[in-house]
Amino acid sequence: MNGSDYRYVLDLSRLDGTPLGSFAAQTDWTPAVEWGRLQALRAWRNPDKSASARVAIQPLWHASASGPAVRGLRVVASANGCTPVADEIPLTYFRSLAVKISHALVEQKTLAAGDQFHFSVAAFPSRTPAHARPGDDPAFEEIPVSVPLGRASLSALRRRSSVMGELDAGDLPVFVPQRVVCELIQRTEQAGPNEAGAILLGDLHANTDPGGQDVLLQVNAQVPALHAVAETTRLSLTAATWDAVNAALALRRSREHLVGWHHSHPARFWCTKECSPEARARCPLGQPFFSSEDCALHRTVFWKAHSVALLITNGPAAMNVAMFGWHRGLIRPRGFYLLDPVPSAAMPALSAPTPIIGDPPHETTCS
Amino acid sequence: MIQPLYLEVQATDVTGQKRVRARRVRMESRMRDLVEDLVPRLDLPDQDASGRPLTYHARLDREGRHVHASEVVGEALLPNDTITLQPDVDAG
Repeated sequence: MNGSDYRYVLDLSRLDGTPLGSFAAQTDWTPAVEWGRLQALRAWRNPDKSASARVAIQPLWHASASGPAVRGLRVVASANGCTPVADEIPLTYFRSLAVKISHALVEQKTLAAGDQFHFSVAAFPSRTPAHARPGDDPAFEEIPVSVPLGRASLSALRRRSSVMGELDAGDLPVFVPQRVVCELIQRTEQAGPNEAGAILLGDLHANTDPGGQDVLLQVNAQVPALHAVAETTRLSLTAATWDAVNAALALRRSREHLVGWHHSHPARFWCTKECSPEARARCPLGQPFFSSEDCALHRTVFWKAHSVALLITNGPAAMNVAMFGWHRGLIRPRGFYLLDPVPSAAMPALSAPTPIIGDPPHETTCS
Repeated sequence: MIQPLYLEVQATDVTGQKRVRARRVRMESRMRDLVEDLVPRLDLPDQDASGRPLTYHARLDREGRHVHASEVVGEALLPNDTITLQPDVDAG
């Protein structure tokens, strides 16, 4: 069992310091644990060891505060015969939980909608360690699943690629062939006013460069999200969608696995007739954003820390591509490598405005 | 002949990268109860972004079909079967 030997409490307060209450944190530790496993895989390059590694989550104490206040978390992955690997998880890991609590406070009329608040986190030793919680049913046993690790040269792939977005040295290098992006752009255009979607297939590779370390992700193909219910502002993936994806994966007879997903925002169709061309050009909805539903889908299906999401926004002014992925247990925009770009290909000049997490405010007036 | 009360099955998430073994699944229970027990064991969320319950369908790999929630475990599954939990999820 992985997780934390501590129980965490969120203290919310108004901006003037007036306490709003203390709330026990029912924390989803999976993203933090999986981040630890990915760091272990990048360091050990042993899929079996990283899949079965023990991942502990420890509080990082606030040095300037007395008492049990934490400034973040440390995730430590360990396995027999391997040097433990540690990384930090920021305090913003608890932000979504704080927001959820604030919604309840709004319903109770303790807070008004739109009120700002502070939150802090305290940790207390749990009476029962993470590996022996009462209620852990011995009738269920987790079976570690190793992701196959191929071999590829990171430097060779980089030489064949151009950079899209902003790269972070701490992120797993991700390579997406331009061919795949073009296919997704074509599907986005064909979908017109409706959202389109696809599942990304790919492989993880150990870097074979001399003296090189690390692991990289290579997306190989996209499988259209068949049997999905597509609407202008929603794409519903069904059991039939997953059946079709896994059937396509089986036909490929490879060691690929599901490494991410794509969907589109037909933002140019979200404008009303009253929106002037100038208003459309600056409308925030044309900016790539990963909505709360998108975040929830990513957590539900693509919870492995190496999983990515490609968003294509068919904006009023231009088509743009953005990638999102896990970083220290949180979903955030990230850069990637566009593999084998062909300048003469029928690929639109892609703009890359800074993507955001969360729904952007719509223009309240169009002029 | 003595009928077994329990059977053992395996369950995976839709990516196949999370797998659990369920050792004591009651034969007379319904599939919906089994799915409800398996969701937290697979570390899967049970709510969507709006707090609404997520629906998971159980796909029986041996037969390549979705097992209805009302089916009885002992009638639908065999020992050591593998089921895949497939969610209905929305992107926005």
